[in-house]
Amino acid sequence: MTPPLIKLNQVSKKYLNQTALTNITFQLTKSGIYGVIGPNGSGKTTLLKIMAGLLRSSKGTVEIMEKPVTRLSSQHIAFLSEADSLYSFQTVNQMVDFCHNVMPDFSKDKALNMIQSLNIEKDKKIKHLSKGNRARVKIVLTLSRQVPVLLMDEPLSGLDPLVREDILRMIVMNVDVEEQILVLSTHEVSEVEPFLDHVIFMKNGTCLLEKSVEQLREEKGQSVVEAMREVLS
Amino acid sequence: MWLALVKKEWQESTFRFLVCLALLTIVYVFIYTMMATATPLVVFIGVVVVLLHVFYLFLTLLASLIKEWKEHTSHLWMNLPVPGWKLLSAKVAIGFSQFMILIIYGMVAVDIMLQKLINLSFAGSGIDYTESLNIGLNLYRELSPWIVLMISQGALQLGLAALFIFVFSKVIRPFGWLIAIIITFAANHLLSAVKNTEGYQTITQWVPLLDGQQVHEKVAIHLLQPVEAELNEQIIQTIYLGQVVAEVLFILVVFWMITWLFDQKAEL
Amino acid sequence: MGLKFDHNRPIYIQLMEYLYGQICRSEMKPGEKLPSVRELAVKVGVNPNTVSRTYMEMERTHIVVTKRGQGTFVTEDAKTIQELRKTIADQQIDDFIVMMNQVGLSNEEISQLMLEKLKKRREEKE
Repeated sequence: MTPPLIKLNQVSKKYLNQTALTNITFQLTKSGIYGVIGPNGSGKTTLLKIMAGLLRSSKGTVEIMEKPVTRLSSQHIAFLSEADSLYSFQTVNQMVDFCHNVMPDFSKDKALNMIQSLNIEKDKKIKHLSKGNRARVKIVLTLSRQVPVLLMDEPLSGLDPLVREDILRMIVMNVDVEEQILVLSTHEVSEVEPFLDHVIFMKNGTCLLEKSVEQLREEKGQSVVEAMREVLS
Repeated sequence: MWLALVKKEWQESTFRFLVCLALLTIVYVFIYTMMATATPLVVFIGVVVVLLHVFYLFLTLLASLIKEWKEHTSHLWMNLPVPGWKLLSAKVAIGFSQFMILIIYGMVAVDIMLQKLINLSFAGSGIDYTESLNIGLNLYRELSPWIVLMISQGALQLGLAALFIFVFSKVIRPFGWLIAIIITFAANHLLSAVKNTEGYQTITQWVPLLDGQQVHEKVAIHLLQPVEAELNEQIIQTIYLGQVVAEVLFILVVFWMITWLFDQKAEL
Repeated sequence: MGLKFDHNRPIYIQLMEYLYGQICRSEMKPGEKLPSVRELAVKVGVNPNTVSRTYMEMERTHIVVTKRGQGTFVTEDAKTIQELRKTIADQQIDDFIVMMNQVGLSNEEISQLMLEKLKKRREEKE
C-alpha cells in the first residue's frame, strides 16, 4: 500500500475564544480530486491552511509525505487562497517570471500557454485586471506548479459562471489525477460534483464523512448533494 | 531565486523609498536656505535628521511585512517553496540598500551645509569661527565612514528587532508583538551587560581600527568646552575589528533564530 | 462544456452508456480513435479518473481496445458491436417489460401495443 500523502491525526484548532476544528482524523492516500464540502464557517479554510502548514494545529498532528507539516512543506504543496493574494504591482508577465524564478517546480511554459488560451493581457498589471481575470491568473499560477499536493480554498466562490467554467476546465486539463492530490473546498456542491473523486463533509469544525463519490452513488444511489443533506442536517 | 525575491521587494518598496527621499530633500533644502538666519539650530536639526536614519530599516521592514499581510499576499509569500532566510533577507537587503543610499545622501547634505557654514562665517561679522569650522569639517569627513558604520549597526539591530517583533506576533496571538518588545528590551539589557564584562572586552579587543583617544583629543582641543569634553570621552571609544566581527556574528545568530521561528512556528 | 448527468448514478456508467450509444449508432466507427482521457473529461465536464474508469470498463467488455502509446480505439470486430447492440436492447426491453407489468399490462397487451405503435410510426414517416 502506498503511504498516505496527507495524514491528519486528531487535529484540533482553537483561536482565542473559538474552536475552528475539533478532532479531525483522516488520511488521503490516493491521488485525485477531493472536495471539502460544508457550509460557511464549518472550518474548511482553517482545515486547508493547516494542511498547507500555514496554520499550526492546537492539538494533533498533520503530516505531508510522512513529515510533520510546516511552512516549508510548501515545496510539496501549492496553496490557492480565496483572497486576492497576488502582488498587485506586478504585471502578469512579471508575476510569471517571479514564480518561475522563485519556485523550482514551476512550469513557465504551462503558465504562459494557459494565459494565452485565456486571452489575458500579459503586460497589464495585476491590479488593473478584472476580478475574473485575477482569479484566472491565480489558478494558472497554482496549476503550473508540479507538486504532489494542490490545495484550493473556494476556487469558485464569488465568480461569475464563465470564470467558474474556465477554472474547472483548467483544473481538469492540468491536474494530473493519477499523480497529484487536489483538495478543493467549496460550498457550491452541484457545480463541482462531476469533478470529484472523493468528498469530505465538514460541519461545525468536524469532519463527518470521507468517501469516494462514485461509491456513494453505487452503494447508496446518492448524489453528493443528497449525501450532504443527509450528513449535514 | 534570491534575486527574484529582491527584485520583488524593490518593486514593492520603491514608492515608499521615493517618498522618504523627497521628504528628506525638502528638509535639507529647507535647512540650507534657512542657514543664514538661524544657523546653529538648523544645522543641529540636520544632524538629528541624519541620526534618525537609524529607524529607517525598522520602519520599512515593518511596513513591508504589515502590507504583505494586509493585502493577503502573505498567502502566496508564506507558501513560496523557499527557505525563510531567503524571504526575509531579501526584505532586509532592499531595506538596507535604501538605508545606505539615504544615509550617504544625508552625510553629503551635512557636508554641504558645513561648507556653507564656513562661507557664512567668513561673511558674517563678529567672531571668526572659520578655523575651528574648517577643522570640524575635516574631522567630519575623516570620521564619516565611522559615523555611517555606527548608524548602520544601530539600523541593522533595529531592523532585526522589527523582524523579530513581527514574526513573533504571528507565532503567539494575540499580543505576541508585546511579548516580543519586552523580550527585545530584556535581551538588549542583557547584551549591554555582557558587553561591559571584562571577558567580552578581552575577547573582542583586537586589531584596533579607530583610536578613540586620538579622535577625542582632536575633538576636545578644537571644539569643545572642558565639561563637554569629559562627556565626549565616554561616547567616542576605540573601535576594534573584534567588536565588528562580534556584532556581525550576533546579528547573524539572531537572524537565524528569527528565520527558524518564521519557518517552523509562524502562522498566516 | 458538459453532459447532463444524473448524480444519483455512477457517472462512469452514464458516460459508458453515452459512448455505447455513439458506437451503436455508428457515430463512432469501428477502429476509430476515442478522444484522450483528458480531452473527453474536458468535453463532457467530468474528472479524468471517471473517464479512465469508463475506458477500463469498456475495454473489459472488448468494445474498445487500448493500444499502448497510441490511445484507445473502437473495436474493429463488427460482431462485438452487434453483440453490444443486442445486450443493450435486451436490457432495455427487459426493463420495459418489467415496467409495463408493473402498471398492470399483460405480455400480450404489451406486444399488441408495441405493434400498433410501430405501425403508427411507420405511417407517420410515409
